[in-house]
Amino acid sequence: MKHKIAIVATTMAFSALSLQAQNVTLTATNKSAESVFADIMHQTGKNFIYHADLLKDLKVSVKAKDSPLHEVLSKIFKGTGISYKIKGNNVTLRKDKVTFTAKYTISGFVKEAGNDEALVGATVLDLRSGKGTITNANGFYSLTIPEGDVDLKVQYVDFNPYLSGIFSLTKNKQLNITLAMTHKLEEVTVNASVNNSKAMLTAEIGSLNLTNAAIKATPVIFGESDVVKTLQLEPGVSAGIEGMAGMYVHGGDSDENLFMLDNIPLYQINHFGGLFSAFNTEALRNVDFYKTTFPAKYDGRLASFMDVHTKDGSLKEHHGSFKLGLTSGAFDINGPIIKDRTSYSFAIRRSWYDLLTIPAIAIANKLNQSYNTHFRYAFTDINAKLNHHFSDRSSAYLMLYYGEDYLYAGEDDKGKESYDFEFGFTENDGVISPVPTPIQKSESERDNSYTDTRAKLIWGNIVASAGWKYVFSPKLFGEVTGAFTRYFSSLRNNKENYDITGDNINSFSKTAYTHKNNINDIILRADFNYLLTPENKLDFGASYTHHSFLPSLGVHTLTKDNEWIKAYDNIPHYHANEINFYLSDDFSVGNWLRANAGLHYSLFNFGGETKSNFSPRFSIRVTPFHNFALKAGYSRSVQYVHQLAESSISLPTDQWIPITGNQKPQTAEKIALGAYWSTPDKQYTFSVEGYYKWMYNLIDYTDDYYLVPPTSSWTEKLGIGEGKSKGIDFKVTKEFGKITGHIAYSLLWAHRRFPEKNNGEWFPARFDNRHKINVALSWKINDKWDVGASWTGMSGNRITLPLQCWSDPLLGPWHFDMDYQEKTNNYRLPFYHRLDLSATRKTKGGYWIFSVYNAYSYMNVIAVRRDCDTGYYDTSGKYHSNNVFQHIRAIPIIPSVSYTWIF
Amino acid sequence: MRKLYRKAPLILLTALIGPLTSCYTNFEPDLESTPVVCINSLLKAGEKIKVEVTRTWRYTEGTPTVGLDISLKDAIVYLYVNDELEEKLSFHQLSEDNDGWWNYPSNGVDCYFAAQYIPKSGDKIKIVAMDKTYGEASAEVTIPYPIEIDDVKTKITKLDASYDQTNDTYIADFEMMLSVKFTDPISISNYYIFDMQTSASIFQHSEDEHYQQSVESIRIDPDYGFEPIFSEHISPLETIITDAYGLYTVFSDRQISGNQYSLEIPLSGSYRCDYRYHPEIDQKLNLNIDLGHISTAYYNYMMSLWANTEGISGALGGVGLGDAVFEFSNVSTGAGIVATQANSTYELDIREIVNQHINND
Repeated sequence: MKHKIAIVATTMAFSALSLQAQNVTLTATNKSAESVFADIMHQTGKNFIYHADLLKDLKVSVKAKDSPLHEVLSKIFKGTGISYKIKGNNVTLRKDKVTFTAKYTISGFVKEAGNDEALVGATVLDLRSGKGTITNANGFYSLTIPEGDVDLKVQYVDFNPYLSGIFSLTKNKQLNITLAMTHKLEEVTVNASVNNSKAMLTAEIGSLNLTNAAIKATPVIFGESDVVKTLQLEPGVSAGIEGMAGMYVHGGDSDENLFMLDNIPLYQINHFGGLFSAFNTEALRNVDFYKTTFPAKYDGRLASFMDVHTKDGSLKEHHGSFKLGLTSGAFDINGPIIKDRTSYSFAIRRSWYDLLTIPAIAIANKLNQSYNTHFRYAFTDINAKLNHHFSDRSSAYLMLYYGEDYLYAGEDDKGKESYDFEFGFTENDGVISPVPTPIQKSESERDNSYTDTRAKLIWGNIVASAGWKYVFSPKLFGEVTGAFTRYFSSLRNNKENYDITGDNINSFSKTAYTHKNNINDIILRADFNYLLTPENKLDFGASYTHHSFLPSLGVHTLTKDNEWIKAYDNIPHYHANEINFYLSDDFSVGNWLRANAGLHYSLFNFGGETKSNFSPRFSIRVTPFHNFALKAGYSRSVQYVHQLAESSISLPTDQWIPITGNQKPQTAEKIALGAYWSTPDKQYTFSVEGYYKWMYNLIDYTDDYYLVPPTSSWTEKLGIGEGKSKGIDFKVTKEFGKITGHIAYSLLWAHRRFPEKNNGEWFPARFDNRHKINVALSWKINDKWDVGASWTGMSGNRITLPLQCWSDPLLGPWHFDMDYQEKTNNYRLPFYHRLDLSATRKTKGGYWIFSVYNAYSYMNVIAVRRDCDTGYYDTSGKYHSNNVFQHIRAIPIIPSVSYTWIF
Repeated sequence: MRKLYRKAPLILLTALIGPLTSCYTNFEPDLESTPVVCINSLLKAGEKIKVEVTRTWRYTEGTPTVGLDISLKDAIVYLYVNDELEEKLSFHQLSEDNDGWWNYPSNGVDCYFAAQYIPKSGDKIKIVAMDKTYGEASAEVTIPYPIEIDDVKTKITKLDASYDQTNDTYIADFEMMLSVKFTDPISISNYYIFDMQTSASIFQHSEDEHYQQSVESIRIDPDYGFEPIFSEHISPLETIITDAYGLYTVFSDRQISGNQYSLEIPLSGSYRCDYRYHPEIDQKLNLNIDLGHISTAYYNYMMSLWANTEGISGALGGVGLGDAVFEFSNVSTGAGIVATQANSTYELDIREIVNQHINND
C-alpha cells in the first residue's frame, strides 16, 4: 500500500561512535526488536530503515560477543521472514519475497483453567510471524505459519495470557491451551479483548461477545442478571417496556431476533410476561450477538442473532454455586464424571414467589368465610449438559433445557354463602344512599349453591440436542448436531356450578375450555470451519428443520346435568420443512484488508409449496493505518416464521406461525458502514456504525384484527407491510483496568407502512426511540469490592393516544364514550432516564450482590391514561367534570440483594 | 373483588411493578385535534328512524353526561332511501316535562332527528348530516331481512311452584333449558344479535299512594355464557380473565354457515300472580325471543366494543402495553355507527309451559 507506507527512518546521531564499529556484543532474551536495534545502533552507528509494521510485536532472543553485525542480524531474523541489506551507513529491513517455505498448522482448543470451559473469541497470535486468529464458538483455533521459530501468545479478557516461548515448528502441531483467570488486580491490565479484536481485526460490523462475568456485572431490576438486559445497554438495541427483557434491534420487532441455545433456536425466551429472560446466567458461559452484519451461518430472522453458549462442565474437579436472590434461587454444579474425559453441568433456577403467596393466601382464605382463592405462580429453568472427550480431536455432548412458567388461579365457594345483606338508607345533602349491613346467616339459612372455578396455564420451552465435534485435520473442524426444540403453551379453564340440597345435587353444570399452542422443531445440522490458507478461512454447513405448528387448538366443553356439548376451534396442525445451506469465506490481504463474503440459501416447504431465498452477506475491513479500521457491509436476511403477539409483553397465547399461502417470507436488507479506532494500548475502543435497513413483507395484525373471531384463521387478522429504519451507533469502550465500561449513543428512525393500518400511510414504529444514551461503568476497587453503575436515557416509546371521543350509541351493555381513531403511534412518551447501581462484595465462600434499580427514583412514564380529576360547579351551579390526560409513572427505586455461595 | 383472580395473568404481570405504578401526573398532549360530526343510529325494519347527530370532543373538554353539550342542534340531516332523497329529518328536543326523565338517554344527548319514513328490509339507507362548524358526515347501510326462528323448545329442569290460598297468590320458581332453532341462509355472511324480554308486569296502586304492588310479574335470568356461539369472539386467554360471559349475544355464521343451528340457553326465573285484585289477569305471561339479523357494521362495532372494554387487547392497550383498540365506525368521519337490524320474534307463554310440566308430572 503506497498510500499507507510510513517509512520509519531512524537516524541516530552517535557521531562519537561513527568510527564504523562493525562488531556487536549483545545479549537479549525475548526482548522487543525495537529495543535490540536501538542497542545495535548505539554500538554501530548504523541507521535502520524499515516499515512501521515490520517489527511490530517481534520478540528477539540473541547472544553475541564481539560478533560481526551481519552474523548478529542473521541470527535475529532467522525464520522471521525478514531480510536485511547493509549498504553504507544504512541497514534496510524488509519482508522476504514470497518463498516456498514450508508452512505448518498449529491447532487446538483454548479453555479456561480449572473447568475446561471453551473460551470463545480468544486471540491466538504468533509474535514471530505476526499471524493470528480467533477461537471459534467451541474454543477451537487453527493457525498456519511458516516453518521455523514460533512464539505464541494467547489472550482473553480477564485471563492471564499464555506465552509459549519460542519453539521450533517443523510439522503440524496440536496444542491445547488453558488460560487462568486473573485474580490479582494488578494483572487485570492485560491487552486482550474479544470485542476489541472483533472491532479492529474482523470484518464484522455490530458484533459483540458477552462473558458470563460481564452479564453479572450489569445492574438490573431485582438483581436478576440477564443477558438480554445487558444487551439492552448496547447502542441500537431498544428495551421496549420498562423492566421487561424486550429487545428491539435497529428498529426491528421482538420476533425478529433469533435466540439460540448452543446454536439451537429457542422460541419462548421470557418468564413472567417478559420481566426475566429464559437464560439462567449461572448456566451460560458466554454469548455471541450480531446486530448489523450477520455471518452467513445465521438466517431466519431479520434483526439480530444471539447464540448463548452454555457451560460444558469441568473435566478436572467439581464446582458449583447456590444463589438466593430477591425473586428466585439458583443452583448449579459441574464437574468430571470421568476425569479428563467426561464432564457434566447442571443448573436450575426457580422463582419463589409462591413461597410467599401460598401462606398469604392460606391466611386470607382462613379469614374469608365465603370463598377460597387459589393462586400460584412459578417459573423454572433447568439446564443440563453432558460432555465426553473421546480424544483430543473428538468430543460429543448432550444438552437439555427445560423452561416453564406455571400459573394456577381459581376460586371456590365454601359451599354456602355465609352472609346476607340488609339494606338501610342514609341521607346526605338530600341524596339518599343505600347502606348494606352484613347479616351472618345461620347454617340452615345458607344458600346451597356452590361454584368452583380453576384456571391453569403452563407455557415454556424444551430443547434437547446432541452433538459431535471433530477435528478432522488441523485445518478442518466440524460439528454435527441433532436437536429437538419445542415451545408449548397450555391453558385450561374449568368452571363448575352445583346446586345441592343435603347430599343431592339438584343441578350441575361444567364449562371447560382448553387451549394449546405448540411449535416443535426437529433439527439436523452440520457446521464446518476450514482454514484454506492462513489468510483464507471457509465456514460452511447445512441444516434441515422439520417444523410442526399447532397455532391454536381450543376445545370448549359444556356439560349441563346430562347434556354435553363439545366444540373445537377450527385451526389445524401445520407442518413445514426447511433446508439451509451456507458458505462464507473470510480472507485477508496483509494486515490492511479483510473481507467476509458469504451466502445463505434457504428452502421452505409448506403446504406443498416451496419458497427459496438467497441471503448474500458481505463485509469488508480496511485498515489504513495502525489501530484504525473502516468497515462496510451488506446483509440480506429472510424470516419464514413469525410470532403473533397482541401486546408488547410476552403472553402464553403469543403464537408462532409460518408464512402461508400467498404470503412471502419477511425479508430485510441492510447496508452498514463503520469506523473503529483503538488507542495504542488498546485501553479504549471507539466505534461509530451507521446503517440503513429496508424490511419487506412484514406481517402484523391489522388495526381491526379483533373483529375477527379467534376461531378464524390467523391470516384473516394479518396485514402485509414494509418498514425501514436507519441510524447511527456510537460507542466508546474501556475493557481493561480498574475502571471499565462503555458510553454508547444511538440515533434511530424506524417506520412502518401497512395498507390496512393508519390509512396506508407511513407511521413511526412503537420503539422508535430516536435518541438513546447508555453509560455503563464498573470499578474494581480492590480484591473484595466491585461497584458498577449504568445510566440509560432515551427518547420515549411511541403509543397511539386517542385524543377525542365520540358519543356512545348505547348499543352495548355498558355506557362508554367511544375513542376516536387517531394516527398510529401519534404520541411519544417523555424522555426516559434511569440510573442503576450495584456493588459486589466477595467473601470467603462466595459473594454478595447489592443492587439498586432506578437509584434516583425517577418514575418514568410507561403509559398514558385518561381519567376524571376533581370536577367543579360553574356560576349557574352546574357541575362539570374535569377530564385529564395522565402520565402513568412506574417503578421507583428498587433495592435488591442476593448471595451466591460458591463451592 | 370476588372475580379478581380472573385477572390473574395481569395481576401476575404487575405483581411486582403494579403497586409501584400509582403515580399519575396530569398533562395535556401537544397534539392537535379537530372535532368532526358524529352520527349514531340503530335502524330497525319497521320502526321509526331516530338519528343522533353530535360532534366529537377532546377528552379534556368534559363529559356529555356532566354538562358538556355535544349535540348539533342546528345540523341539517337528510335521509336517502335507495339513492333517492326521501326527506329532511326533523329535530326533537327531549325534555323532562314532555318525555320524562327516564327517557333521557344515558349518553347525555338530549335531542335527536326523526324521519317519517319507516324503513323496510332491503332498503338502502343513507344518512347525511351537515353542520356549519364541524362539516359533513354520512353513512350508508342496508336494512337486512329477518331470519325466522324455526322452532323453540323448552325443558323445565327444576320447578318449585306453590299456591298461597290465603292470599290467592301463585308463585313459581323454575329453571329451564331453552333451545332456539334457526337456519342460517347459505352463501352470504350473516350476523346476529339475540335477546329476550318478558311481558310487562301489571301493577296495582296500593292504598298507600307512594307504593305500587305488583300483581303479576315475571322475571328471567338467562345464562348466555352457556351457549358457545356467544363466546366465539373470546380468545383463549380472555376465557380466563374475562367476567363478561354472556354480556354480548352477537355472533356470526362463520361456524354455522348455511346450517340449522340451535341456541342452547339455560335460564332461571320466576313469576307471581296475585289474584286478589285482578282475577282476570290469568292471561299469557310472555317471554319474547328476538333473533336480530344485523348488519356487518353493527357486528363489527359490538366486537370492537368487546375488545376495548372486556378483551385483552383493550386492557393492555389501555395501559400502554399493547396497541390501542378503537370502536368501529361506518360513518365517513370515523365517528359514529349507523347500525341496522331486522328482528324475528317468537313468543312463549311461560305459564302455559309450567302448567304443562306440572300436568305431565
